[in-house]
Amino acid sequence: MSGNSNSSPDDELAAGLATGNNVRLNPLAGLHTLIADLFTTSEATRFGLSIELFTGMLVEVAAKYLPPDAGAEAVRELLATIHVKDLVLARACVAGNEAAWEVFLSRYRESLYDAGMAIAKDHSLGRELADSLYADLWGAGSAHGASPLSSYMGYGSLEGWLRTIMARSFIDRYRSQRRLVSLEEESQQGRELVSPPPAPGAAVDPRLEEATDEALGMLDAEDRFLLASFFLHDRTLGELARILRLHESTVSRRIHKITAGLRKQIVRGMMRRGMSRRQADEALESDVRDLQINVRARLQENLQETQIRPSSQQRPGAQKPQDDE
Amino acid sequence: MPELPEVVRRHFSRAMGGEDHPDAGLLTALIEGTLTQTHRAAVFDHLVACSECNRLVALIAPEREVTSAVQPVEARRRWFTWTPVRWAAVGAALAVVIIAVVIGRIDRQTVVPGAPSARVEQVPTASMSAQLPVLVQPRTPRPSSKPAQPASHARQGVPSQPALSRGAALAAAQSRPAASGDVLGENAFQTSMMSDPSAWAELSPSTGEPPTVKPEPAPAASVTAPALPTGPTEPMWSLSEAGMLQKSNDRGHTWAAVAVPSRVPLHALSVLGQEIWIGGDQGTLYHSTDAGQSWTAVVPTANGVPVSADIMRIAFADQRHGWIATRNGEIWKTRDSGATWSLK
Repeated sequence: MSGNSNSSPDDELAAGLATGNNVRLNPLAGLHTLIADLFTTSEATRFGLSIELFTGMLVEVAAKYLPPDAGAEAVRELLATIHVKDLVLARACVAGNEAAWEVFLSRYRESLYDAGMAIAKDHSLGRELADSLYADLWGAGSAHGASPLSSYMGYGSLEGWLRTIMARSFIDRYRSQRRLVSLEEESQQGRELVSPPPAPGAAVDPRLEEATDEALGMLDAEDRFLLASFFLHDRTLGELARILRLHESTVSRRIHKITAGLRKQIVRGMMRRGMSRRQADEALESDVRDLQINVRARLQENLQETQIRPSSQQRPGAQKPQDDE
Repeated sequence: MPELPEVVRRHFSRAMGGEDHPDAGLLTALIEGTLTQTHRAAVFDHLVACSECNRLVALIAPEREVTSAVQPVEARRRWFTWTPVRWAAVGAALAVVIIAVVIGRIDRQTVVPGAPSARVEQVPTASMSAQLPVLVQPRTPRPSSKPAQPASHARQGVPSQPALSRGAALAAAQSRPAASGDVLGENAFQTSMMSDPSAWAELSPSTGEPPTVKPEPAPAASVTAPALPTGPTEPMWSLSEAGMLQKSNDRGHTWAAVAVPSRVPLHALSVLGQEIWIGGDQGTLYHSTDAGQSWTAVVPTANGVPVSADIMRIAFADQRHGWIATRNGEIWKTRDSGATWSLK
């Protein structure tokens, strides 16, 4: 850390560009004014962070969340979204800045407890979660290895990010506790959860599959999320409403509308592929649970195309949930 | 809830178990609504496929007040989308318009011939009313005096005429273009007065009703609508565009500047019989109890802090109860003819 609070951000940036690694700064080329503004907004000088270090952070963020060939507009959109003040605070904490830890404590200690209790739905467990996370943040940062805070990139608020980390910790803890259940209990519980063996292969009209693929592809990603969350993942209307910041009745209406529209699209798709209306309706309504269609590879292929783009060297934007910790 | 076609369910199921999970930042941004377009589709598609992340997102979504906040809107939309209700609303609106037109014609036919005397009749209730249009009165020069104007005043001030409702008064005032730079304090004042029934009760102890709003034509080169005379021989008052106090003794045909101690531009005027209040830049406030013959400077002070912002509105319900509104949105109230003030 070095404090260059006397020189202007532009001067520092110019110096950084002149002496720094051009390749490293390349994603942000042409965005000097934006970076200078963000530097001022971030209050980085308060924690002694120079604009070179700040620019390095932004390069790291861009490299993590954008493909190498991302255009200036994509970079600008991303940087405009970044919570630079939170990012600077997190990095200062990681660097062991006492003032930053004081700010962190005063700002997030209580909200961590609140978040812990909200996640665990239990007072003592919530406090335990929060204390455990705080110990990780502080202990790892001061003694050994990298603090989980070092993986915070400013995407989403720091408070929200801490909440997410805590929720993952809660899920992991819940999962590990389930593993400790006795073998007999687990086998009894697990029996209900085991997927039924695949049914013997049966012929399925490929037009139905194609029409379904087509109709699902035409849906907005958020609509697909709504359908899958409600019908497959058993999310409640209330949960979906909170996730999408909508009212429950709005979510309910949207699911109604999407489902009805999807059925129509599938029927139309089948009709375009040569089915009569009656055949299409029958194909859609018939119970096909015992039919096995191997489209997994195709769906995975589609999903891979839409996966989050990793950087050239790593895929931190698409890592396992535990990687953050 | 309708059933999802089984084939769709199967497609979703097959996609489950995605390999790479979005990092905590992306999920947080999704919950906070700050996810960029670059990542939006990818994250949502992952949540379709990954039950673990789907559950995680549900867990981190904070409890929000949005439910209670939006519910009334949804409820309103629901009943209003009922077709008969929609047509009934259209019919009711048409009926109101027709009735208003008919009443307007009858009124014009009956009142215009006796306009000058009728205008005098409105005066006892007009001091407050005359001020409200000042709120957002456009700074346009007054058109040349027309004989019909007094009739117009009279027509709207006839006691039997139903007063505009509080909402209509607000709408009438807000529908006018705002004078440049003086909107904030005025709107704050108006909003406060309109939203607080007790304020009207205090200002009009006898009725508790909001005053009527009358679209007043401005006098020559005046900023504000003139304050109507409170008696057959009493003058009309107004503020000129330059912020000077002026008076007309011939019902608005000619206007003469009135000397006041203040040199700053005036923005607000209240006339109630012999009681005149004027307010202007930097908290300037003067009070005359003898129809402008002499003036007393008044400095509204609350908790030792005097008013310092430009005074944009003054309204007095009677000699004792009055309000002033400043450009920065402060509302000051007095219950003792300006001897003491409280800041709302």
